[in-house]
Amino acid sequence: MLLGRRTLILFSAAMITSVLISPVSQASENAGAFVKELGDKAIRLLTVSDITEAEREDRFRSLLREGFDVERIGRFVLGRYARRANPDMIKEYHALFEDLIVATYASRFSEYSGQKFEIRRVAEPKDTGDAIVMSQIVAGSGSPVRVDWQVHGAGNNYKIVDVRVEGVSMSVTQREEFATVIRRNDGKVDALLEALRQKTSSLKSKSASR
Amino acid sequence: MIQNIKNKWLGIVLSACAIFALSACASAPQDKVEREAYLEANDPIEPLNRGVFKFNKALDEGFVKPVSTMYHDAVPETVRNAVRNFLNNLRSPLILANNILQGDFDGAKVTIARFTMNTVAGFGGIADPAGDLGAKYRNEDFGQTLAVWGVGEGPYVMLPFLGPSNPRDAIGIVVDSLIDPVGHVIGGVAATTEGTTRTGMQGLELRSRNLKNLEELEKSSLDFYTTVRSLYRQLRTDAIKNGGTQDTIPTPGITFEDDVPQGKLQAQLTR
Repeated sequence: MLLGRRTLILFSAAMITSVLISPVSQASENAGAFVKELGDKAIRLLTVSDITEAEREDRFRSLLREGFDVERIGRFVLGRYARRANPDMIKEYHALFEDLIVATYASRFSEYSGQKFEIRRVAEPKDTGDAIVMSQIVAGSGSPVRVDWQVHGAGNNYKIVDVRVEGVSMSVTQREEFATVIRRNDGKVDALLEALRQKTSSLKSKSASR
Repeated sequence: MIQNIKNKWLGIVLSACAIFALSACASAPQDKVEREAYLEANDPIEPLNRGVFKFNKALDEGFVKPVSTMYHDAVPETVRNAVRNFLNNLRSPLILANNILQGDFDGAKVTIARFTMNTVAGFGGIADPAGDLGAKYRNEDFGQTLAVWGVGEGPYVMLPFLGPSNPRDAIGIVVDSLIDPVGHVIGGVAATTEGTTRTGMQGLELRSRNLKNLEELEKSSLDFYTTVRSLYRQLRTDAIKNGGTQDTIPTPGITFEDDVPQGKLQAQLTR
């Protein structure tokens, strides 16, 4: 080898740092603090092992209502099919949608094993006026998981309106799923409500038997 | 031609898909709401795709998943990480080629530095000291390069064996296997064997890391076929934008109107 090992390593290390260092945004500190606080609270309240699954779900639900604009997310997820539903159906849909989120995610906090929740930075894209709080979840081994939070609001009234894990938006994914269920059942919103009822009860019975 | 057999096989699969696609193509619905939903799904050959998905899933449950589970349980994590690092490092020349084709010279610098450091200080690529320094592995492929050049993804296609894709990414797979410098260095029949083994190992490695994730995903999904389709597209969009580190991160999710017209949503998704 022409170059010494050491030179090569130093040289490549220099190249890595030259590319990676970039200025950090100071804006939207509030939105970042809001997400950080919510995340820390979730870890504090939901990961304890001496509560029942029902209690965990209750706690999760109140944090969800506190930190997320669930109704707005639900509206986006149902999308154009809202035109085909009457007010009673819409009401039941929103209740079931919240149940689905609770049933899907609450139990995952019981599997918490010391992962760290860190805010990387906050971006303010021009198109929506919402702040994007970029965070990562770092486990002991393995690469960190990138989680971006779209936060709507100002002052001290913030609500999360979307979560993106490694670039995958929860609301976009669910919107597509829901649309498929309706479309494959002759365009009936009732079919979605039925599927949601079944899914939430099956997820619940699973977490209860754990 | 390098990796002849693999490419011939790919060619057969792709052209079979094309023929089926033409015959299975359902016409767009007339109803306005249905039509919008149909266009947003961008999946004109859905019936065929669902059939292939079923086949892939059976293959996964009968073979890939059991083998990956065995691999995951029998091989210690440190060894599996070494295998992953080695496979990633071996992809460096191809990634570099795509970095350059995309005009991403910062990316090219990182790829060169990673390859140099991991090969020299990482025991021939089984360790990832460059990653520990903050230069994480980032995959590039010709499908992404085409996207950077402005080529649209086209309709969703579920490929047998290879999984979710679209015409752009399928072409990318073929081009990558043709231009991979590692294949050219090895040459001849050995390159075919090497290419096939490497593809197989990469599949096994990837599957074994997602055993639990995919299970959870399927459990909470209302329609797993659609979940996979949505995930594939979003992950590809993310990869094309290199993880959206720019402040111009797209916001396909909540943008005021819940009734986003199809074109606008697509624009948001692909921007």
